[in-house]
Amino acid sequence: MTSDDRSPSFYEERAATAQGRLGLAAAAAAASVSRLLHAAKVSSGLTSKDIAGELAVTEGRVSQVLSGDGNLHIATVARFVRAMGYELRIGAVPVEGDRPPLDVIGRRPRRKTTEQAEKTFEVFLQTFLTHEGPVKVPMVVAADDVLRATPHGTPTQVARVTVSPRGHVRRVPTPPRADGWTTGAVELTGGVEMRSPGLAKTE
Amino acid sequence: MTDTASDLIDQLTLETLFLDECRVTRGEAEDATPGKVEQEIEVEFSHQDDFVFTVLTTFRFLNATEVLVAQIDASFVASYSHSGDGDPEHQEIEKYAQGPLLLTAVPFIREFLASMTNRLALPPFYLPLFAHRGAVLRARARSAS
Repeated sequence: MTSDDRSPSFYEERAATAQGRLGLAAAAAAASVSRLLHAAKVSSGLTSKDIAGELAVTEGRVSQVLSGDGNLHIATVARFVRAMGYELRIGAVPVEGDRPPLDVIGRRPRRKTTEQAEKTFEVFLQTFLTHEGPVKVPMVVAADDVLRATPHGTPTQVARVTVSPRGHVRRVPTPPRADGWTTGAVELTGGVEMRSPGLAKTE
Repeated sequence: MTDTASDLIDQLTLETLFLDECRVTRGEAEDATPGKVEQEIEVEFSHQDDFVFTVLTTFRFLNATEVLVAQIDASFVASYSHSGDGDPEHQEIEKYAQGPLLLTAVPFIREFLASMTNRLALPPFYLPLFAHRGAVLRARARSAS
């Protein structure tokens, strides 16, 4: 018999339709559960009576489950497996096209977490005029914010620091920023020029 | 010499103070990152009915690489009435100009420069004020004692 003239198997017939594929998947899972329970019973060395006692159910119920009840709840399987000294793990693998492997842990890449966690700040001193005279007040701002000069003058940068997620502060060497204009004290750069002839310059 | 500047403080009363002339010149800089501001402040004095001080200011705004961004020239006229006897000496006027006159005029110059730099779409520039704070207070204190 060649491959061309053979009739399709029962499995192939069912797998040809979407509804059939779903039924096959359910049957395969039920068979896996049955094999799992039997393997656990053999490996644990427990009798049906022992398992019934552990689960506080009747021995008939244990036989019913081990014989392949198609309507087992996942929780029931987990209890039976646990009663025999094992823990149920459930997994799924891609069977179609380009489906990626499942990420059931849900953890984000570590690199992004690090980027979001560490923050950089700059420390400035801003002079304010008070009744006691000019007072320098420290200010902490997010790094690289644009600072606008105020009528009290331009803030002076004194440090740049990074703060880790655990709160560790580390000073970062950096050249001082110059966000504003700088100039010297206001004073006359020359003498007073007299425009009135009557006022003679005296020494 | 006695503290004649403090005498003038008591004898002079400010009548008017206004912006006389101003001129803004654009520099060659293409980058307006704030840098140093060079300042020149000179005073001319004339005496007619009132004492008239003309404060001539030039501010050169340089960017971070010290290329001229803009130059602002402005003159402010402050006129005072004089209640004293006789004309003051040149030294008295010069001392008055260096202290009380600047203290009076600088707030107006500051406001003008802040407004002008804002209109020029530059970061606002505020003249430092505190250098002369207390100069008149000390002079008055000495005068009173």
